[in-house]
Parts: sequence; C-alpha cells; structure tokens
Amino acid sequence: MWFKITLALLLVVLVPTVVFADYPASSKYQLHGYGFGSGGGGDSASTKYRINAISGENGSNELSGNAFKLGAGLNFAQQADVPSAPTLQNADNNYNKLHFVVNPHQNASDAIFALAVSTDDFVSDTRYVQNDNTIGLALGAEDYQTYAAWGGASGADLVGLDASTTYYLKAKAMHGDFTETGWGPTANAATVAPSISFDIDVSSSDEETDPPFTVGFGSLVPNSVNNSTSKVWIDLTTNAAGGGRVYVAGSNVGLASAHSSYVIPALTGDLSTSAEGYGAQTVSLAQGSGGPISAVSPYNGADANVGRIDTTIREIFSTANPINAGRASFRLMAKSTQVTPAATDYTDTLTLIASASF
Amino acid sequence: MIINKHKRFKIYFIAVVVGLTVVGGLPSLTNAANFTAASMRLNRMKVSIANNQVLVVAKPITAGTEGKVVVTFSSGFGVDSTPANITTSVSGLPSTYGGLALSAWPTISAAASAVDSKTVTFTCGDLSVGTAYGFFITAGITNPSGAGNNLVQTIATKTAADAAIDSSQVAVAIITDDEVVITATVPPIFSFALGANSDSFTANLSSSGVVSTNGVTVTIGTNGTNGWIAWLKSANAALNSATTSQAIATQGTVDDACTTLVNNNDYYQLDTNITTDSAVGSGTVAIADEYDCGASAGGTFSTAFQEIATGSGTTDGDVITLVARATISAIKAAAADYTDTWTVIGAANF
Repeated sequence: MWFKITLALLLVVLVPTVVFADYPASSKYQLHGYGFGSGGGGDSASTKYRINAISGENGSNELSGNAFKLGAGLNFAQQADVPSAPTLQNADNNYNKLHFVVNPHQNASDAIFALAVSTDDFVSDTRYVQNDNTIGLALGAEDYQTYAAWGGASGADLVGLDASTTYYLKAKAMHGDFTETGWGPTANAATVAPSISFDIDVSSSDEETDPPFTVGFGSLVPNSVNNSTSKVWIDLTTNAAGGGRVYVAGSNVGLASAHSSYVIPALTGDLSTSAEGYGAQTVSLAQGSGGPISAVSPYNGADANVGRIDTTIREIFSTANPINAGRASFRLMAKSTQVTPAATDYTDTLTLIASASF
Repeated sequence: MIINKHKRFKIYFIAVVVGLTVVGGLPSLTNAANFTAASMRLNRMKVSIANNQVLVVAKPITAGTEGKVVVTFSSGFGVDSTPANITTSVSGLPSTYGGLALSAWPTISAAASAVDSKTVTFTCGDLSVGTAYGFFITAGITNPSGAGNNLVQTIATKTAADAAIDSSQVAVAIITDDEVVITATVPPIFSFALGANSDSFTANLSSSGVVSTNGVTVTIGTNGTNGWIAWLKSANAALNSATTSQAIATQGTVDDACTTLVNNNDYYQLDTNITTDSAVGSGTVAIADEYDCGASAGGTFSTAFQEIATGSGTTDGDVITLVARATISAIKAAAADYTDTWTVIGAANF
C-alpha cells in the first residue's frame, strides 16, 4: 500500500515537470508557459500526457452561488453541461432497489455520465453506480455511460441496496477530453423494509372472515365427487423480489375417522375415476397488481382433478414477483364408496403458511 | 505554479482517502452485500407457537469463507437463551424453494453456538456463491404472542473471525390462526335384499333321500365398521299341509350344531351357504354354526329369530343362500301344499 502511495506521489510530482518541458513552438516563436501573458494557445501532448491551455485568461477565478457556478478558463468553457438532478424514486415499495433516470440536460446524445451514490448525502459515504447498476467503491472508465446506456428516459434500477435506507444520487457528464463537469445536484429516495402480509378466510364467497376456520363437507354421497361447502381463501402481499409462496399441509394423510379407524386417502388425480379420495383444487386467482399469483400443479386441475394434501408441506400458490393484494381460493373435494366406514368424525386439519424470497 | 498547488491538493486528498480506507473510516466499505436470495419460512404462522420449525434459506452472492450464519429475530419472537436448546436439522429439506434448487447448509452446527438476545449464531461450513442453502431451526424459537405482518428478520453470514460476508433482511408474518379444520360425515349405509320371496323343493319329497329347495339368496351391503347380522325365523318350524293337516317338523334343537337328515324320517332343516364373500370392504362372512351344514344336514328352524350369518365389516355385497332340506317318512300323507314361511331380516352394526 505504501508503495502505491509513494508511486502516486511520484507520478503527481513528475507530471508537471514533463508537461512544461515542451511548450508549443514554431519557427517564429516559442511559448514559455501557459500562464497569463504567455501569448497564444494550444495543446501539448505526448504518449504520456496531454495538456489543454489558453492564454490571456486567468483560470483560477470563478463565480459561484447556491444555484450556479461560473468558472473561467478554457476547461470550464468547454465543459459538458452539468447534469440536473437525476430522478430517483421508489414507486414500487422496493426494499433493495430504487429506480433512477439520468437527466441529460443539454448534453449531446454521445455525452457520458457518471453517477455517485451515498447514504449520508455524500458526507462520508460516496460510492459509484457501476455499469451493472450495482454500487461500488471505484468509479472506473467503464462506469461512464451514455444517457441511453443508463436506460434513457425509462431509466434503470439501482440494485443491491439496503432496506429502509435513504440513498442520494448525483451525476456528472463528460463529452470528450477536458470536458468532465463537476457533480450536479442530488436526488434522494428511500428503500422500504421487506414486507409480507398473509391472511386466511373461509367462506363460500369472497369475503373476510375470522378464525376459527372450519370447512364442512356435510354427508358425503357415496361414489360421487363431493365439494366442500366453503372455500379456503388466502390474501398475500409482499414486496419480495423473488415473490411469495403459499403452502398447505394436513394433519393426516387424508380425511381420518377416529371412530372407524379409517382414512379416506389423500390423492393426486381424478376423483371421478378414483373409487375414493380427498384433495384440493384451485378455484380462483387474482391480484391487485404485480404477481401474478398462480396455482401450483397439481392443485391447478379442473373438473374432478385434485392435488394431494397430507402431512408434507406442499406449495399450492406462488408468485415469482412482488405482489399486491394477491387473492386465491381453493376447495376441498372428497369421494367415498359404499364401503367407506360410516362415521361423523372424518376430519383433517390444514395448516396454511406463506413465505417470500427477498 | 497554480497547477502545482492543485497537485499538492490531490496528493493530500489521495493520502486522506488512502488513510481512511486503511483504517476503515468509510462506513460503506464494511457493508455486507445482500444475498442473491434469502427467505425465512415459519412452518407455523400462528401466534405463540413454541419450538416452531423455521426454515432458513439463503443464496450467497459474495465470495468468502463462511464460518457462521447469524439469524436475528425481531422483537416479538421468543428466543431460548441457552444455545444448546436452539437446535437445527437439514433433514426433510424441500428439494426446491421458490424455484431454487436447495442444498443442505454445509456442516451447520447441531445447535447454536451463541445467543445474544434475539441474535442466534450457528457455525457452518463454507458456502458456494450461486448455490441456495437451507436448514431448519427445530427448537428454541417461539412465535410472537400477537399477530403482525412485515416482521423483519435478518440472515447474515460471517467468516469464522466474524467478518461480514452477506446479509439480508427478510420479512415474515404472524397470524391469529393458521389452521383450517375440515369435517365430513360418511352416512351409514345398509342394503339387504332377498333374491326371491318364494322357493320350492327341486323334487317331490322322498323317504329315500334328502331333497333341497333351489335356495333363496340374501345380498347384504353396508359401511358399518362392525359388519352385519342376518336372522331368520320360521312361521311353523315345519312344513304344514292344510289339506292333510299333517306336518313335516324340523328336528333337533338350536344348539350351534347341525342335524343330519335321516331317510324315511321327517326332517325339515335349514342350511345356509356363502355364495359371495365380497373382496370389497373389510368384512368376512361367517355362517352360524347351527346352519353351516352340508348337503345332508341342516340346522333347526325356530319360530323365533335365529342368527344365521354375520359379516365382520364393511361390504359392497356379500351373498348368502338359504336352502331348506327335507326328508319324509314313508307314510307321510301325500299333498301338494306343504309349506312354511320364513322371515329373513338383517341389520348393520356401525
């Protein structure tokens, strides 16, 4: 590390020596310096350096205020247009990303922009948006991109962010050598906390209900497919980038009767062609936005096709994306035979749970 | 000269930046990256569930040598303060989770190595970037007593020396009740049918041999777990002739034993046979000993109901056949109206 610092110091000290060793010259004159009164103007360059200069103007003075900055000298005069504050927002309640749009201002379409990001408005934390839209400590040449590469008017998502954190973003522009601007004004937006909400309802219609939750079949008609009188409804909302899932498990391997020591077995398949069985089938799927929520096979069957519910936790609904106001329902279906032992205590207890991938 | 001043400023700035970097003065440098994916699944979401099974899933994004995984629960959760009581398992992990192939968290410690309030630390082996891992916390965690959404937990990985590698916040929800009770009734079923309501002997009765009726079938179906019972009673306990006023009486007593017919004597007996012992259902048919006789024997008729057969369980159609067998003495008055009437009933036992 100290070697690198020393090398940096040497380079910094040596550069002026090299630069001023070769001033513009012709057969008629030779410049002895680029300072005021040196006369003429032009560039000096070699394979190691390039210098941009103007004579007749003192480059060290500038005018500035809260809302403007007016510099002097050739570099300032040919600078790119300082970008206005980019747009930074969290319209979708994200916990790990924010959406930004670079404001190119008056810059040409081939101007390139760099973006700096901070969590303390650049007091002690300054990082840079990388060309993959993540945040990094270094600002490399590859991280200067055109307005179009930053997503143009649609913008892009700044990703890999911490939850519940305010981020500040600013931009600078460059359009050729010696044109890089200072940083423009900042914009800020906050990520939110990761979230998930889940609710269960039991009803024959789409309505909110309170526990305890019971779904009754009544008396099963033998050799017929019987639908439960009520449906099980779930509500799911999450901002998880990986979406959410709803699982179901039973307390038995079917509808069990303690009295008869018999179980109407859980099965996956077509109850109409099965002698006996018990399972679940999706009835409805909806969401306010995001998602979509979908039924997971084998719970997505039609007619008398059901999915098995037993003591294994099985995924019944899922969404691969954040979802708002996801609402889904399923019914239970059962079939008994003439020899299914009579009893009034056939039962199963479903446990419904939800999780999300953040 | 002006440029030289700028350079001196740059040197100073570089030195300051390097110095801050070396001593870790930039807070952002120590931030752990978010996992590519992270999740926590509570196998019960109901309030106050003790020793809840908690599935912890994470997919590393940062290359590092993991030695610890640290799970921090939100304030409402009960976390056992004794590390040994917070146990783990990778048994029964789902093969996939949210579309990700799930691998067992390598060498996850069987119990926590440390607990600090709501923060639980487990030791583990090195993880591979891009692989999703999971493990269950199997004991030591109790759900909050109040329902709530958006409860933020933290999953983090560290090196054995506690250097942060990856970290993500995840949310879970607790609800008042996560169970739905399903109920159903299977109604009692019993069917009982006679194949005919009259029967006759296949030939004229004879003093030199046993003559039998064609047989009347009885078909029984039931879902009674304890099966079924069939009874029979005879109107006369004999074959009576109105025209001759004579009778061919049943012989013997109801004593769980068959009576063998003897030629040239009056015998009128009942034999019951199993025609179908249905393979559907749990029951097995049994004929009462009194009436489980051969071609030359039979049980004694009674004017009171006598149990003739039973089924031990459910059946979709057991069939028994009732056969009368008779012989007569050589001096039995001739007539064509010898008759008796049976009453056959059944019931299921649920």
